[in-house]
Amino acid sequence: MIEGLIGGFGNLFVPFNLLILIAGILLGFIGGGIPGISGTMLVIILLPVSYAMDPTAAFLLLTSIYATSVFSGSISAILFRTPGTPEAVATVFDGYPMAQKGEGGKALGVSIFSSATGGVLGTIVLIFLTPLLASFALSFAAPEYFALALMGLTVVASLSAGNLVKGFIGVAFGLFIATIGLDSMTGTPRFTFGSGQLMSGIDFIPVLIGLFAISEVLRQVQKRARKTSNQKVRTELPDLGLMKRISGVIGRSSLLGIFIGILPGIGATTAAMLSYSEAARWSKNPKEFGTGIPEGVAAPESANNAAAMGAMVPLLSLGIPGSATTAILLGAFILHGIQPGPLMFQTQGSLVYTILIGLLFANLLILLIAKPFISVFSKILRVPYAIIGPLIVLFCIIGTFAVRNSIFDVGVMLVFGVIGYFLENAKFPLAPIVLGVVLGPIAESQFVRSMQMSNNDLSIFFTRPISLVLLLLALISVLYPLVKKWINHRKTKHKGDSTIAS
Amino acid sequence: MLLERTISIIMIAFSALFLVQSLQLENRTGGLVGPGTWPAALMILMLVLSIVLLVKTFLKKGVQVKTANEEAEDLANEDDQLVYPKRFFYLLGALIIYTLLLDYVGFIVDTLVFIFVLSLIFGVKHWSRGLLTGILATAGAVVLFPILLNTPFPRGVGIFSTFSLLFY
Repeated sequence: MIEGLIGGFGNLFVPFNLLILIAGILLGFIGGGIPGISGTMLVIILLPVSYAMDPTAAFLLLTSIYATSVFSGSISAILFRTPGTPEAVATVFDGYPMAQKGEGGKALGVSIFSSATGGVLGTIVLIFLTPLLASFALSFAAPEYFALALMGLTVVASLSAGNLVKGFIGVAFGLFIATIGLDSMTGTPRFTFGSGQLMSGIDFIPVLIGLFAISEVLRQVQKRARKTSNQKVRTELPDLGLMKRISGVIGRSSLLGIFIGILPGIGATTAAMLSYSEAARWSKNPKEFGTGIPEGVAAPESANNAAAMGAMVPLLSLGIPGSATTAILLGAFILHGIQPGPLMFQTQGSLVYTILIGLLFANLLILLIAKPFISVFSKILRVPYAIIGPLIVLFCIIGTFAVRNSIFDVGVMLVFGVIGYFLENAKFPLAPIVLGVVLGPIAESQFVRSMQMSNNDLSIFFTRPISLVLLLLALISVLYPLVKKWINHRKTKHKGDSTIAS
Repeated sequence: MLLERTISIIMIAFSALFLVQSLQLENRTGGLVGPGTWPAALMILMLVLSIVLLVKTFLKKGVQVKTANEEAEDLANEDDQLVYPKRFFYLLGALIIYTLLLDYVGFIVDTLVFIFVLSLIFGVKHWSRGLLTGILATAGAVVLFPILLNTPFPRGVGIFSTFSLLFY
């Protein structure tokens, strides 16, 4: 592993790769900073550019965008009370009051410092945990992979939605989309209606771009143009005393964030919200939270960066993405002909270690680059959405077209853009659909393979210990929300009874 | 609520249709699991859950417990109302027309006009700015993709094809 890391270090310092890394960091800053463009969308938009690059440069670009956009969402959250990315929603609670008190520069400094620390801690855990998990997963066979995919899907469905029924409808729909085309096992055409285009299946890139980017543009176009204000702030990085004051909060929130990130289905946004409420609970003066204190900025900012790195662990070690953005990264790997999973450390070791070292540097460079970036940021914000919106649409179209040079795919993207728009209006979570589409082929082929291994005996999933544990975890993730709801129901009923009695 | 009901009805129709379709897939493997088994199972799950969702929309009372995620979203959407609902249809219409024309008009002309129209739909301050965006974006895309990265962009037919040969 040490040689791998040193090799990754060497790869990163090839001038071209270093240039790409810095470009990725700046793009992540810009995209995260502008409300209406999230990190997920930016990674999607830049997929077409990355097709033509060699894998090392492509993944340095995509992962550094992913890592830094999580931070820069906090800039407009603090200064304008508009989170630039969903991950920065919790930063508004204390960041904006600090800016109102005239401490905007201090809040930005705290955000830079805690994001970088959280991100670096997350990357360190990522570097050490991923190879361990991958070597453990080397013993997995078809039943384990099926159980793993099933667990990922159920956890995403039950946790990301807050509504079990909608979550599982999404998963089933996504998995179904993945079955369209030639069946990989028997070669039977499925649901093609005689169309040659459908024969080769629905590629998941158009589905992703439609669901996440086109649906968002269809929403943004209906909104009033945002006002841009000219606010001059001087970013101040925290001094030693302040660092000491927030170090406990940063440590706890980072650990919580990493843990949440590793779990499939809940990502950086939830991590930020949870760690904010946990920080308030742990604090000696919980009432001060929300009035503009540095701890309230440090907690969500360190947690969301840590969680973003934690979410990379299952992707790189098991090939199972835990969030929407990591699902897109999985798609990018497949486009480059690389199958993420336990074997990747052996077949693509140098690429993986370069990505890991690149993430470490991206997070460290937040400390250096963020300050000068913020001073030019207000100029970038002045570019109106009437210019940015059409460009996003253009990138989506090119990105979709370039995968297979197919105009049919552009149509697929439009259809899913409309589907995504209406589903999101009806509060359907989109992440389960995406994970269904991405994991569909894995889940089905591993299921069929297990059935062949066991001569059509379903008990193969329950007699192998690892697959049994994974399936039990899947079951728990379904039952937990139901049990919790029932207990809450009983609690309120009980309370109601006692008030009537009194 | 009405939207949720409509969506669940569409989903019931969708899953019922494809359940029938998957059951019609011939299983020539002789094994328990044929090509239609997996999609059929998925469509049964989706059908059952969509019916549950539909029933729920009729039973639901006004009180709703919001999850942390939803609360966060509400905060993000605050003073962010959708004030131009018509623009949704303009944008969608433009996208559909663009996609249909792409094969006939070719990338350059189609995109230039499309980006210009889009910037008008998005409410650009002055039309000249939109035109400039269209020209620059098209030029940038052509230089980056067909010229530098060798992506075979659609050329269109007849005169458009000849025109595109000037550039890529």
